[in-house]
Amino acid sequence: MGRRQAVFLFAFGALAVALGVVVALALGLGRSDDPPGIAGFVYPEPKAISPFTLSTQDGRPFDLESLKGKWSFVYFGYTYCPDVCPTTLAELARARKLLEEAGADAATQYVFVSVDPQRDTPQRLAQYVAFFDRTFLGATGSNEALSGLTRQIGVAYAFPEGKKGDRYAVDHSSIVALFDPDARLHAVFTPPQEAQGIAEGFRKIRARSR
Amino acid sequence: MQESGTHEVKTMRARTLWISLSLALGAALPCAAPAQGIQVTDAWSRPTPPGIDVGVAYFTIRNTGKSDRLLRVSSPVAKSAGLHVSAMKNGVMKMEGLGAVEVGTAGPVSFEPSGRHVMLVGLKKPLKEGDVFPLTLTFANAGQMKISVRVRGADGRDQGHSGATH
Repeated sequence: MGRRQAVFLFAFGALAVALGVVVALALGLGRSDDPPGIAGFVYPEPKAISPFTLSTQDGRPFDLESLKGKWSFVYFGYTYCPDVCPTTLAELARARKLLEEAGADAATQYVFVSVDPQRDTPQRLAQYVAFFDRTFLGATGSNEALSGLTRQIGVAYAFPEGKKGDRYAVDHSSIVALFDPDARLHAVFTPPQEAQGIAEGFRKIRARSR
Repeated sequence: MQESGTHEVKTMRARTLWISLSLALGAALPCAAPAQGIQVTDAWSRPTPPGIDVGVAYFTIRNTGKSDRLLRVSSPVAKSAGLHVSAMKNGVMKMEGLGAVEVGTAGPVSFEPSGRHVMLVGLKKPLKEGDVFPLTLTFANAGQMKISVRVRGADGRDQGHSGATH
């Protein structure tokens, strides 16, 4: 065997091994207790949440109890948001459809929490969430009630100083928080959220926590 | 009087023809007519949820001529239109107004979801899937350029074009 051939074979072999490792990792053949890779992060220990109380678009309470017994995708934003919120909600709606098509949507719910209660009345919220997906819930509350949830999960939002009237933008964390059926914060999907990534990430997380 | 009337009708006819021609062209070609090396393609928008009078427009600008700057935008469908950018700062998504946007020749400048976008404020009527509306872009050198923006489905996917470019 010529030297060049040997070098070539060695390189090929190394590449094959590297590829094998990558494939094994991708297939989850690494340590099975490693959190699955998602576009965002999975809490090594799901985080318990203290009680909070918001209201849904039809006036029912949305609280810790509402999160129990199902997986909840919760997104924070406001309805006057022209770019980021419609983008994320559209992807979330598609993720829900992907999960439904794959038969992986049992015991799930999707909630849009408005951090702008001044403009987002229950009626507006109802129309808004239904526009993206008829199954989506909307929820909001006073600033105090909102911070009861947002502070616990690291969601920040801020109104512009000296805002007047109805035209203002709200700065906000654009995350999709995933709560498990024990109402614990389990994972966070960070922007840019993409339907396929959310759906696949969720299936991995769910498979692991069985 | 008679003559001026005929002239008016002719002008009207010519205008109607011109409008239908440009509409047909606008529908057939995704790109607006190139003006001094600037091309704007893939202009699209999202339908607006009920009761919401703010909207967006996205597009891609390519410049094969001299460096230019996009100064402002306007559209008859909204009271005002502005250049904005959504950007993450310390984990928080902020939307800020943009001054002029440099349109160099190095590569395309994209206006896309969760990035640079045109914000339409005070829409005169809701934007519905399949609608096409005009948007005028004003460049420092190339001047004004009118493009057609197509409203896609709520999911942002273009049913008409497979493999949307983004």
